[in-house]
Amino acid sequence: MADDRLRPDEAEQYDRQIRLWGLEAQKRLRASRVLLIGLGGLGAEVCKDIVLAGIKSLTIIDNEYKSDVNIGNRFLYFTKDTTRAKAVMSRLRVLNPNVVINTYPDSDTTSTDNTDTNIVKAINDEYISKFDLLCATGCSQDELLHLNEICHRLKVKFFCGDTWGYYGYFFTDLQEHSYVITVPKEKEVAMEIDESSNKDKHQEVSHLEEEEEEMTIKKVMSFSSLQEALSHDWSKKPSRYFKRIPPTYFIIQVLQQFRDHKGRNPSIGEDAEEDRQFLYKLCEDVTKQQNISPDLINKEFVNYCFSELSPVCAIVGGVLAQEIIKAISANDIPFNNIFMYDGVNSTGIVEALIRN
Amino acid sequence: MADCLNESLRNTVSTSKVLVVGAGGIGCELIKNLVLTGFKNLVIVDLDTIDVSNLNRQFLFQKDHVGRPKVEVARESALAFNPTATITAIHDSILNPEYNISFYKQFALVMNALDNKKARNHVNRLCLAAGITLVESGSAGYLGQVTVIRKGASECYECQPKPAPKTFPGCTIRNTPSEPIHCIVWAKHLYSQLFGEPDADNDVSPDTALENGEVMEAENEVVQRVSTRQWVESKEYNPEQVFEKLFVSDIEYLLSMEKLWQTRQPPMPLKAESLLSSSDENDRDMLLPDQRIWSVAECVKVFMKSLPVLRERQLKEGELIWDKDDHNDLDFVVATANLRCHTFGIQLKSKFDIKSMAGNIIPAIATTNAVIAGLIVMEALKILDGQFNKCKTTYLPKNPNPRKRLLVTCPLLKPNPKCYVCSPCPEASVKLNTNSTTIATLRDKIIIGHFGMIAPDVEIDDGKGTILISSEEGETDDNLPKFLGEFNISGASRLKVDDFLQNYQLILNLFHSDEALSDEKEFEVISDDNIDEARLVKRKAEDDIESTSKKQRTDYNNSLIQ
Repeated sequence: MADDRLRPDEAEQYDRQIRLWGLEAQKRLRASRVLLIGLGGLGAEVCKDIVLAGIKSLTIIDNEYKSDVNIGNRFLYFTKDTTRAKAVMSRLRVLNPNVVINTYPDSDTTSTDNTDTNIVKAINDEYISKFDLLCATGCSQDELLHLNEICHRLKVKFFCGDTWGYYGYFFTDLQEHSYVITVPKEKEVAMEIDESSNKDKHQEVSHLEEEEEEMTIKKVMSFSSLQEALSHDWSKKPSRYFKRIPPTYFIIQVLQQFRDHKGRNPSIGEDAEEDRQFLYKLCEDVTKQQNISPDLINKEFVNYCFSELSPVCAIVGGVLAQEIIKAISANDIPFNNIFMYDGVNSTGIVEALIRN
Repeated sequence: MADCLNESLRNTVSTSKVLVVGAGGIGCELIKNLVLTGFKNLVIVDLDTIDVSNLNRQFLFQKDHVGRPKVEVARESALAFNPTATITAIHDSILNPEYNISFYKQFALVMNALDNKKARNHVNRLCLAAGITLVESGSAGYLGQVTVIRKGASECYECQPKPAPKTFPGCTIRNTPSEPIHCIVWAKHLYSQLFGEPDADNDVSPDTALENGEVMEAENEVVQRVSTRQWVESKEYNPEQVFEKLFVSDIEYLLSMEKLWQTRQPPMPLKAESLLSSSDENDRDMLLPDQRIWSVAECVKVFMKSLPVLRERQLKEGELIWDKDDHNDLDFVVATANLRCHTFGIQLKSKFDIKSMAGNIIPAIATTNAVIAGLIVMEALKILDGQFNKCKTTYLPKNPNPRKRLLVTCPLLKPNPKCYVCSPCPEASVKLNTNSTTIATLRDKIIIGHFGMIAPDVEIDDGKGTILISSEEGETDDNLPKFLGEFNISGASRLKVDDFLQNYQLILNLFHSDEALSDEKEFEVISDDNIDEARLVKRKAEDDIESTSKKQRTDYNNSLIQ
C-alpha cells in the first residue's frame, strides 16, 4: 500500500493506543470505512470513540431533525437547523481531522423531510459494499434484519445496538472472522533475537529475565446471522441458568417490540401511562413468543426505561466501540455475539445466541 | 432531562454540588456524563495542561488547545453542550492546603479521575476526614475499575497495601545490569547526576560494596572517590572524556572486580572498531521511525550531540528535571542506555520502547475511559438515591470472565480494622537501622513517600514530647541530617506523626535492626500478615472475583505508580 505509513503527527496523536494495540492494528484502523446509522446517545458515543481511534472514514445516516436532540448525544451537537447527521459533522471533524466524515444522503440535498424512514430499507448491496463495517442503532427489527442479511452475505462486519434508560445491548455478526492473538513466546525462540552483537556468549545469561517476548497466533471464528440469533431457543434452559444470567435479553425484546409497534421509544408526557400499559402487554407477548416463565421478566424495569441515560450510553457505547476497533484491526478475541447491560442490577454480560 | 431517573433522584442530581478531581482521560468522559445526566453544579480540579498525546481520548480537547490548562478547556467544552450548568474550573494541585476539610464538606459527593497514587491517598484521607462519600476509579489500557469509599462502611483506598513501585538494587544498576531496564534506570540516574539535582543514592559509578555487604578491594587503586558530578565538572563536561569514563574506564574498573564476574558474563569496554559496524536489521517500512533500533555508532553520535546541548541548558536554566517529552532529554537517555546495554551484551531497545520504560507510560484509550466514567456516574446515582447498600466495586477486564461477565462486580468490602489510615487509632510498624537512617529519610521516604502525608509533624512519644520534625518551614531543618540514633531512638520507639491538613494522626513504631534489609531497602514496613491472609481467603470465598479480576486488581494497582 502506498501511504500505509503513519505521518509523524499521527504517530504522536495515537501514541498511547499504538502502545496498546500495536502499529499494525492502527494501520488497519486507518484504512477502514465505517457506516453508522442512528445518532441517539449510543450512536453518538460510538462515533466519538471510533473517530478518536482514527478510522479512515465515517459515514452517518440519521435524517431526524436537530430538534430531536436528546440526553445522550448532546455532546456532539453544535450547529443548528439541520439533520442530526449533518449537525455532528463539524464537531466530529474537529475531534479528529484525520477522519473523513460523510453523511448519507449527501449534504447538498438539504431536505427538511425528517420522516424519511425508508432510507434504511432502501439501502442496497451496492451501497453497503462500499464499507468494511456497519453499525446500526435506533432501528426497527425489520430494518436490522434487512441490513444484517446484506452484510452477512457480502461479508461486511455488522453490529447493531441500542439503549433504553438503564438498559442496553449490542449484537455482533462478523461472519467468518480472522484475527490474531498475542501470546508470550517460548524462551528458546526469544534467545535468537540479538544477532547484531558480536558477543554471543552474553546472550544465554542476559536474556533469561528479560520482559516476555511475544508472538502472534492466527485464529478464525464464525458468527450467526441476526435471524439465526433471534431464533435462539430459551425455553430449554434450566431455571438455574437464569439465576446466573439475568434475563436482560427479554427486557430488550420488549423494548424493541415497543419501538417496532409505535415507531418511537417509551416517553414521559401525556402518553406515559399508556406506554407503561403497553409495555406490560408486550411482556406477556414476549413471554409467550419465547416460551419462557412469566416470572423471568421483573416488571420493575418499566420504571427504568424511559428516555436515555448518558452513562448507560457511554458504557454500552464504549464496549461496542472497542469491539468495532477489535473487528476492524483483526486483533484479539471478539465477543460472540451479544453484550447486555442492566444498570439497575449493575450487570454487563456477554452471551452467545445461536440457533439451537 | 434524564426521565428514567425517579423524580426525587432527578431533583437531587440537579441540586447537588459535586467535585471531580482530574480532567484527563476519565475526567473528560465523566464531566460529559455528569452534565448530560442533569448535574448542574460541578467543581473540577486539575493541575495539568493539554498535550498532543491526550487527543486520542480526551475528547473535550483539540489540537489548538495544546498547552492550555485542561480544566479551563474542559469547562468551555462542557458548557457548549449545556450552558445552564455551573462549572467551576480550578487549575491547581489538589494537594494544596486550600483544599482542606471545609472545602470538601461543601460537596454531596467526590469523584476521583486521577492517575497517581499520591493524590488518590490524599483525597481518600480528606474524604474520610470530611465524611464525604468518594467514588474512586482507575484505568490502564483495556482494564479499569470503579469503587465506592465511605468512612466506616467500606474499605478505604488504603485498606489494602498497594504493591510498591518496582525498584532495583543499587549494585545491579551500578555494577551488574542484566536487562535493558537496568541500563535505562542507570541512564536516568546519569542524567540527574550530570544535569539535575545530584542524589547520592542514585550514583552511577561502579560501587565497591557488593550484594553481600562485603567491600571489594579493587586491584586498580587509582579510582577517584569523588562524585560523578564533581568529576564531570572538573572536565568541563567534555563529551569525549565523559564518554571515555562511562563506557571504557568505569567498565575496566568493574572488570577488575573479578568476584563480580565469577558467575556472570563480564562486560566489554566500548572499542572504537565496534562503533564502525552499524548493522541495521530494522525493517524500516514496517516501523515508526522511533521503533527503529539505533546502531551503536548512532548512539555515540547522539550522545556527543545531546550532552553539550543539555549542559548549555543547565547553565542557563539551572538544574534540569528529566522529561520524557523533551527530545534532548529522551535522546540522551536512549543513547546512554543503549551504549550501556551494548557494553554489557544486553539487547538494545528502540526510542519508542525506552520512552515507555523510562517515562512509565501507561497505554490509554477512549473506550475504556468511557466505560469507567459511565460506571462512576451509575455508582454516584445510587449514592445520591440513598442506595449506598447497592454500591459495588466493578472491574472491567479485557475479556468476559468464565461466568460471562464483562463487568465483574463484587460487594464493597468492610474497612480493614488494621488499616493504618481509616481505623480508629491508626498504627504502623517499621523496621530500619536507626544508626544509618537520617531524620530526612524518615520524613521524605517513610512518612511522605510511604505513608502518603504531605506536611507531617513528628514527635517522639517519650513523655517529653521531643519534636523531631515540624511542618513549619525551617523549624527543624537542623535535625534532618542527623541519625535517628542521635535522638535516643533505638530498639523500639513510638513516634506520633500528624498531618494537619489530612486530619490524620498515625502512631509509628520503629524497630531497630542491625541486619541489612533485603534488596538494600532502607526500611521495611511490618504488616500483620495473618490478618491480610485471612481477609484474602474470605474475599476469595465470598466474592465473585475470578482469577482475571484478581490479576486485574494487581494490574490496576501497579498502574497507579507514577
